[in-house]
Amino acid sequence: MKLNKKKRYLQVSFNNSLLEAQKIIQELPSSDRVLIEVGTPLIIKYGMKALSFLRQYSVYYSSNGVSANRYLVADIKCADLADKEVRLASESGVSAATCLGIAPIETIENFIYQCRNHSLDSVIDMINVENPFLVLQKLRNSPDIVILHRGVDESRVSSEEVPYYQIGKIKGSYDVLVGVAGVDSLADIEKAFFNGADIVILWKAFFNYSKEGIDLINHLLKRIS
Amino acid sequence: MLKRDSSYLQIAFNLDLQEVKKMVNLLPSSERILIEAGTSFIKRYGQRGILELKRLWSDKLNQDGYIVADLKIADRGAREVEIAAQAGASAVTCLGLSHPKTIDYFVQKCEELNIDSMVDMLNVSFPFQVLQSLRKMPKIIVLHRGVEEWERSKKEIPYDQIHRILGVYDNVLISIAGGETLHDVQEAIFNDASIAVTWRAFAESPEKTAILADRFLEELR
Repeated sequence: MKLNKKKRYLQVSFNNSLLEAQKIIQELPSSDRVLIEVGTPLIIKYGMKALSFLRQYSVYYSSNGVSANRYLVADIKCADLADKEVRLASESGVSAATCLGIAPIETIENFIYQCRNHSLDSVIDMINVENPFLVLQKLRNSPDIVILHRGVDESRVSSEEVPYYQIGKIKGSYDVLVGVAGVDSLADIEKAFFNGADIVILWKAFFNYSKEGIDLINHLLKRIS
Repeated sequence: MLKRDSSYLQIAFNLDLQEVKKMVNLLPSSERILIEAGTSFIKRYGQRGILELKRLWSDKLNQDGYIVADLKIADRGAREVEIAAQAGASAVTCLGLSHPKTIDYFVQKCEELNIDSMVDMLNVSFPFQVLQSLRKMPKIIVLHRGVEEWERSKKEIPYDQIHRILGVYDNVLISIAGGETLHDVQEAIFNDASIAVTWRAFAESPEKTAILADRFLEELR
């Protein structure tokens, strides 16, 4: 696990274009708490080049001037053939890759195994999984990170609440970090952290470059540091 | 567009682009062959990979070649469908385990862009229930045994579901994925599937692409 279990993180997801993402990444605060997610549409559009391109811009400098690579998540949403997909992501120099919680259990297990072999953090995305805890119970090895969602899918968030009670339940039984996606307002983001989330995934404010997006991340960073 | 009274062989490609180009060139020029840009192929090469396959296959056929972009959409799919359509995809896949509203939206988006919607029933225990939850029927339903499901658990291909689905939804076509032998293709077509998807034999012996394709084509109706 490359992340620190005692820290909280903000994961900025990029889904628009590589140039827009590059522009935003260069203005993100220098902090190991800001993670970069290369969204599925960018991977579908540009292939693995999306990962290697954004890798170049994902360097930041700590207060003592030392450079470090940002934590880069490839949202490949693996559903089958984990050997191949994890290898591809790993060759592009990312820190973590995602697999769908709705994938066959055999695939999720293979995905976790392959991530370990390639020194990647394994992320299981529980979108449209009614009971994420049941998926984890079926696995022989736990992933590094579990992502919980609010609503149907990220573009049409319903009035449903994030299943916050699941965070404590999962963290109480498994040695994993829990991320929350589908929260956009400041109040919801703070609520997610308050309920034990380790990572909050943000995308709407970062689809296009805006000063408000950069201000938001700076504000949130102060709150979680 | 696919014809209801025909059957098709869909060959999925996931090797590197140079190898895939050679293989597509070796294929017989047959409208009964559908070319699939596999999920990992698309994740590797992006839109450009789909575009290359479209160009190659259309050149080979001397007409519009049918390309399936196996995106396996699970969420927020509109952008991905547009990206595939722009590259000339004839069909795109969405996972049957996605939320019904995601699938409905996917089917609608495919209709708007005039491409075929394929719903992939990978890891779905009861495909029929998924279909009952939809407001819009996809064009094609893919009954699928995943690679890991076969290699690790020897899961069966759900041929029994074909007639169950066709008995109620007579406007859809059925595709069978996860069977790799000539016998599997024969069985899929015998059970009234319109499309049999294959990849392994081709990936293992790319140099035999032409012979393999001819043999598989003989099994079609």
